[in-house]
Amino acid sequence: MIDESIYVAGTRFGLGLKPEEAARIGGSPQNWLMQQIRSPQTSTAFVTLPSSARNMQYLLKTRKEIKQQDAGAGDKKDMQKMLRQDLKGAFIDELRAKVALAMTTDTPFYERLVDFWSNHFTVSIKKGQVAGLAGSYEREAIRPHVTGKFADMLLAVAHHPAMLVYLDNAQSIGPDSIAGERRGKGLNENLAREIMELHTLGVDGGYSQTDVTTFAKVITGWSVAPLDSDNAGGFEFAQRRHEPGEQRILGRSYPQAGEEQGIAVLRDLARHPATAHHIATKLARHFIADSPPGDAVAKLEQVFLDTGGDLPALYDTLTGIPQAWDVRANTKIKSGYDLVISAARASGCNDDRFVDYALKSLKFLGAVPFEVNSPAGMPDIAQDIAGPEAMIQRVEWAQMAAIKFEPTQKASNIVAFTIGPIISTATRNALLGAHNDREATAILFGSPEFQRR
Amino acid sequence: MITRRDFLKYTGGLAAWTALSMGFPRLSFASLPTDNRFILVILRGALDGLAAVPAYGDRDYASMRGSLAFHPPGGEDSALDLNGFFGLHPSLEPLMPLYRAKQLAVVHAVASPYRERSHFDAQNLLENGTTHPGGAAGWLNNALVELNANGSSAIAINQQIPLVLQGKLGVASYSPKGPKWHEDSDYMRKMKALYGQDSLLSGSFGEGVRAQEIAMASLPADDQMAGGKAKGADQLYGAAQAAAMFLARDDGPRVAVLEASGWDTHAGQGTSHGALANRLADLGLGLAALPQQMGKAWDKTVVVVVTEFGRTVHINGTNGTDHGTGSAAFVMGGGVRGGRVLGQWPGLSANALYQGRDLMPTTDMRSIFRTVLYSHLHASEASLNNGIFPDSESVPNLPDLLA
Repeated sequence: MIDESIYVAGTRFGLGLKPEEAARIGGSPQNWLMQQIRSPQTSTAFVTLPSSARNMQYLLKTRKEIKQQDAGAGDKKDMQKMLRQDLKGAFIDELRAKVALAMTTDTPFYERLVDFWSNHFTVSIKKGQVAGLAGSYEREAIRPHVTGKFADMLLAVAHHPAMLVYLDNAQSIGPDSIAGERRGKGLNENLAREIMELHTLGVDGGYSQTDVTTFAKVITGWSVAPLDSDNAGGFEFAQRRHEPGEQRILGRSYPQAGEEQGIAVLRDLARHPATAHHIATKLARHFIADSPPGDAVAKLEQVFLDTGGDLPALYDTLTGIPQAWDVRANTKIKSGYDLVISAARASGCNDDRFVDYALKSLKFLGAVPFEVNSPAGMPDIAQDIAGPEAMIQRVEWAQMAAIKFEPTQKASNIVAFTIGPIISTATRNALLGAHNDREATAILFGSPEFQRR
Repeated sequence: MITRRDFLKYTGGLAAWTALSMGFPRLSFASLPTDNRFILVILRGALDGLAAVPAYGDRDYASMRGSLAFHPPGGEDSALDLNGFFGLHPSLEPLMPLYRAKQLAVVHAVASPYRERSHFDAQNLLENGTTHPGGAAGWLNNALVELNANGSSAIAINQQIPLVLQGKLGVASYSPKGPKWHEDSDYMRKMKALYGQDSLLSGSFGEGVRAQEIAMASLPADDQMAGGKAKGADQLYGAAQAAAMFLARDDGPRVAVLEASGWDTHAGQGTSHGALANRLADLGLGLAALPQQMGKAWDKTVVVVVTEFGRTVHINGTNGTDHGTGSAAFVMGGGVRGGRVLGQWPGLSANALYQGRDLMPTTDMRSIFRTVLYSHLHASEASLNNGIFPDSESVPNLPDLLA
C-alpha cells in the first residue's frame, strides 16, 4: 500500500499512477513533481505531425479549389465533406499522439498542466475549421509556455490562428480602418471579450463593455495570413483592417501603432491584479477543491504578482500548499478524461491498440478534448462532471475498460497503488467478493474511490 | 443582470450549495410552485420554417420556392391545409388532429435577436437569453433559479446538459440512447451497493439509476399501448417518449429539454420525400404521441419547438437552402389556444425579404419563451426583464397564446 502523499502526488497532481511508478517517486513527492517541471517529457510523435500553418494552408487551398470548381454543387458538397473528414482525421492524429503520451508519460504533472492551460485557453472543434488546428495549437501555443511565463502563453495564444479563427477575430475589421471604410463592415468583439472574461481578468475583473469594444478595435488586423503570403496559414497583422488611433482601456492609454498596440494591452492584462486572482482561483480550484480555500488563492495570487506571472514559481507554491495534500478534506472528482487516462495508466497500457480504445472511451463519456460547447472549456467541478447520466456511463464503461485495457497486474495489486489509501470497507469487501479478477478490476475502475482525484 | 459573468461567479460557489443540499438533483422531489409542465424542443441546424409550414397561399411562394415549392392542398406533393393560406408539410400529418383540436399553434416568421448566420453562435444566443452569443448559462436554468426550483425540476434528455439548462442549478439528465441498463447484473447490483454508501456520489449515481429504472419500467408499457413504434419514428420520437415518461409522473420533473440536429439542409432538401421529410416525420410522430403519453398531465403541458434560424427563401444550386433568418415555431399543449398561425406574415416578395434572401422575422422568439414562463410557469415580469432575458423590456408577451 502506498503512502497517502504518494497517492496525492500521483493521482491528484499526476494522471494516475502506473505500476512501479510509486517506487520512482521515492521519499519526496513534491520534489518529484517539480522535477517534472524542470525536465518535461515530450512525444516523438509530435515531430511527425503537421504544423497548424500547414493544416491552415491545406484548408485555404482546398476551399479555394472548391469555390473555383466548375463542378455541380452536389460535387462541391462532396468535396466539402471530404475536407471536413480530412480535418477531422488531422484532429484524430493529434489526439492519438496526445493520449498516447498521457497514458505513458513519466512527467504526468506537466501533462496535467498542459491540459489545464489548454482548457483555460480552449478552442472548440465544434467550430468547423478548428478541427484541423486544435491539436497543433496545443503543441505550438500552450506546451512551450507551460513552464514559462503566463504573459508569453497569452501572447502565443492570441497570435495563434486556431484562436483567431475560433473566436472570429480573423475577420474582425476596424470601422475606421481602410477595409472598414470601404465595406462598412465591422468589428467582432468575440475574442476581445473572451480574453478579458475568460483568459485574464475574469468576470469580476472590473472592465466595462466599452473596454471590450475598445480592445476589440485594438486587435483588429490580428488575423490569418492568406495563401499568397510568406507566412501562409500563420499569423498576419493586416494593417488595412486595423482600427487606427490611440485607444484607452481600463484607464490606460495605448498610443502604439499596429500590432504593438495589442501586444501592449495583452502584456498589461497579463500582469493585472485581477488576472493574478483569476488564475490563482482556477489553479486552486483544479488542484485543491471545487470551492478553493481563500488563503490558498491568496498565496498563489501573491506569487503571481511578485514574479510577474512566472509559472514554475506558481507551481512550486501550489505543490507546497497543505490543503492540496489533504484529500479527505478537499475532494476532487476526476473528469471523464482523467478517468480514462488513469485507468489506462493503472493497467500499464503502452501500445497503440489501447489508444484506440481510449479514444472510443472519451467519445462514449463525452470527454473528447476540445470538443466543448463554449470558450469556457470543460467544467472543473463535480456538479458538472458527475451528473446522473454521467455516473451511469462511467460505471458501465468500467466493465469494458477492465477488459479492453488488458491490465498487466491483478486487481489487488492495482488497488494498492491506486485507491488503496482511501479505500472504503464496502469497496474492499466488494473486491474480495468478486467472482474473478476481471470483475474485480471492473469494480475497481467503477468504484466511487476511483472517481476521485 | 444575470449574464455569463454571473454564471462564472456561481460555478465557484456551486460546490458549497451542493454540500448544503446533500449532493445532486433528486428526481424524487420536484419543486416548482406549479403543476404545469414545459417541454422545450430545440431543433439544431436551422429548420426550414417555410418547408415545415409552407405559405402556399402567398402569391410569391411558388415562384420563390421553385422546385421546393409544395402544391396547394389537394394534389400530389401538396401541403396539408391549415387555414387556407398556410399549410403543413405532409410529414407532419400526425400533428393535424392536434391542430384541428386547437391544441397546436404555429408562430411564423419568428427569430431570435441574432442576425448573423453561424449555427454555433445562433444556438448559443437562443439558449442564453441575451442579445449576443458567448453566454455560459441558459435562460431556462436562470428561470428555474428565479422560481426557486430545485435541480430535479428539470431534465435534459441527452448525454449532456444543453446550454439552455446550464447554470447555477444542477439539473438531471437521461439519455434513451445511453448504455444498455443491466439492472440485474451482478456487477451493477454490487456497484449500487458501493455508491449507496458514498457520501459524495451516492446522490448523483442514485438518480442516474432511478432515471434508468423509470425508463425500463415505462417504455415497454408505452410500446404496447401505441402498438409498437410507428414507421418514421426515430431519435426525436424516443426522446419525446422519454420526456413524457418523466413529466407524466406526479413526483417527477416539470421541465424537459429535447434536442435534435440534422436540419441543416443545404443540399437535396426534397419536398414530400428526402432528408427533411424524414426528420419531420420523426418530429411529428414524437410530438403527436405526447398527449397520450402525458396522460392527465397533458392539460397542464406546453411544448415549444424552436430552431436557431431559418433558411433562404430561394433554393440554392444544390436543391437545398442556405442559412437564413426567420423560421417557424410550434407551440402545443392542453392549454394552448391553437388551431391558428400566429405572427405577422411579412410576405415573400423580393423587397419583403430580409437582406433580399431570408424570411423577414416579425416576432422575436423571446416573446414565446417569455409568454410561457410568465403565464404558464408564473415567472415574474421583473425577473423576465432582468435575470432571464436581459434587456428584453421591449419584447412583448403573446397575450392570447395560452388559455
